[in-house]
Amino acid sequence: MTIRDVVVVGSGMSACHAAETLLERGVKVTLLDFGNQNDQYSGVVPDRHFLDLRSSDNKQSDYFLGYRLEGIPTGEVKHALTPPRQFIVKDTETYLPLESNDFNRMESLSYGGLGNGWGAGCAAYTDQELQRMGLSPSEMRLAYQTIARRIGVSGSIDDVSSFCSTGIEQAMMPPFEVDANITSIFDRYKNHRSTFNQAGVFLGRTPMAVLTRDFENRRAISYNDMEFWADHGASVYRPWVTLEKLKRNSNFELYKKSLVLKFSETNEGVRIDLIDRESNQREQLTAKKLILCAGAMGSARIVLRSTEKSEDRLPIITNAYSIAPCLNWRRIGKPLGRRRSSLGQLEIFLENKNAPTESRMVSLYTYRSLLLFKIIREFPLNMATGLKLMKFLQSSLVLATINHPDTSNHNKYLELVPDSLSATGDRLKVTYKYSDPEFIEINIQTKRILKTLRQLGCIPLKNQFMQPGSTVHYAGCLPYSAREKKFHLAPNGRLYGYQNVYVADGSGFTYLPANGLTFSLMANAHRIAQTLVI
Amino acid sequence: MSSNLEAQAIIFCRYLIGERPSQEIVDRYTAAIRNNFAPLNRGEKRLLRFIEILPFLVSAIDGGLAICCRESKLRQRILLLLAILETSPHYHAHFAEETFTLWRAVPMGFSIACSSVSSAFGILMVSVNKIL
Repeated sequence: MTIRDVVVVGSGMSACHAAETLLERGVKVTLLDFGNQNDQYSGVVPDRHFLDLRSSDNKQSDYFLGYRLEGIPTGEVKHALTPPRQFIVKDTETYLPLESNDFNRMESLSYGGLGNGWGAGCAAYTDQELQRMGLSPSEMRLAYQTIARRIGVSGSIDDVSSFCSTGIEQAMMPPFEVDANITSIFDRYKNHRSTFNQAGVFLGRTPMAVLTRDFENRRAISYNDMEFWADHGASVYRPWVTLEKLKRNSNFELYKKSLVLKFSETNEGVRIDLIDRESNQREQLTAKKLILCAGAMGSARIVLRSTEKSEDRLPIITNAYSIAPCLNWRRIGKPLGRRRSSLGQLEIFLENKNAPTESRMVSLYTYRSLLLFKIIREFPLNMATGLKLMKFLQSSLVLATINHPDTSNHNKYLELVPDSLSATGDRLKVTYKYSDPEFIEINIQTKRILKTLRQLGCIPLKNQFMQPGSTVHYAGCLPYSAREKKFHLAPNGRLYGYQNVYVADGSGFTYLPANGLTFSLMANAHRIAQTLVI
Repeated sequence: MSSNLEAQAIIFCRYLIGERPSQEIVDRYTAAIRNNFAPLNRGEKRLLRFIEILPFLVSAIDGGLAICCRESKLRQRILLLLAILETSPHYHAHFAEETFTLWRAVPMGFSIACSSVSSAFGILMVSVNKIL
């Protein structure tokens, strides 16, 4: 029987950086992944500017609308994945069944995981935030620097640096250019900076995993406005960039087409039960150490299945989230220009003076490359008038995505329930309800944010609260604890009750700050892999 | 069925951009409806019949649906044609950004006012249709 050194489960942000760190240490790594790939749309989207494609490519509907017209929204929009990105959620209904009335999840069985649709924000949390998450600020600071150098991060030193880039300034490339629409908002802030700052409002650029210089075999951003549709030149970091690099290392083994079900500890190490997705046969592997990086909900499933009589409930946290389409009235009817990126370009941080870790974060995007018909559908007007109107307004439309921090409460939990119809014999049931004080605070802070947007010249047309889970930031299912407790993690990521099982995704985070967790997922996985005793 | 769908595509296209669609657009619309779209319910079929007999009603009915019944499968068909047009290079100019001048703002304001009035009529039609 072969006993592998370290088995890593998953291929997303956490998994690939845990694996890379272990390989750098000379450890042999086997990575288990379901591995769905973008077979249908790979190579279909031409590497050209959005406006050129729109005006000349006769095949553009193949990728803009999708071969099965899956890019045309029907009913309530649950996620905003473009057709070339929809492979991210393929097969999840079958293999990761989930039941909930109040939670909108997005999980992935794709090669590279949810990182394939990541918005590229790289927020390095403050020391206070890290402590509240159960993480060591000094360890995470070093890990942030390592990850920033590995993946290529661009950004600037500005008014929001203290919220999101402490310690990684030296590792950053210059920021990418901001378009005319967002620049006008930034200019208004700069002209009234002291007034905004007194009100606890700060604007600036968070670090982004976007190259502004060529790096390794990747290309600097080409300002083609196509980031929602393709990964040309790998200018925006995705986990597959790391995975392709790891595949060239002789100590690395990629075990594709496998869905890990559960584990158990034996005298030899950890026995891992999995399903081969092609043959649908169950298989077993043994490893000295197991590192779960299957995402907070994915790791929770595996841990609950591995526990006798798993009727327990595990906590879950996710950022409350709303989207406010706004009109930047100063830019109505003015040309947007050609050279731009579709990604978030400017962030607003709203300080909470009473609770320094509870800042709110708003990202500003210009709406152009997602096509007009989707937004015309949302207007309370007939579509012909909507179209006429949008021709004037499109260059001034701003999407503000509003994120709130989250902590656990006894009404936010998940449990594994038997389901004889499911491929795994069970399904996850998620219950997620805000407490009254949380709900009130979210509303108060949202009003404050909408007022700030108006002061910046952006008139919110509406504010759409999204169902919990829509932000795709999940954490806290197996919280860090200094004391040994069931379903908790030691500070080094070890799952209490086991000697050789570790969890290196966001499961341990006991708090979620408003700005995205992805950069911290990578840094935390690196931190855990670095201290793992083999 | 096919000729009905072709007639629909022509009515919707004239309504959206004021032009008769190319045969390619008509073909894509009919194929998409056949392969990817659920059939209309009885009420929606009735509204569609109105539109086929009196094409100028499409604006009012679409406006009414936008307010009363946004997820209607009839509105979904108009959206489909809009999406097909937007992703066709030949019709690209109809979706390109335009600069703003006062001379353009006046007809735009008039158009929105007319749209609001016709939507009010459309709401009435959609509501009566629901009762029937």
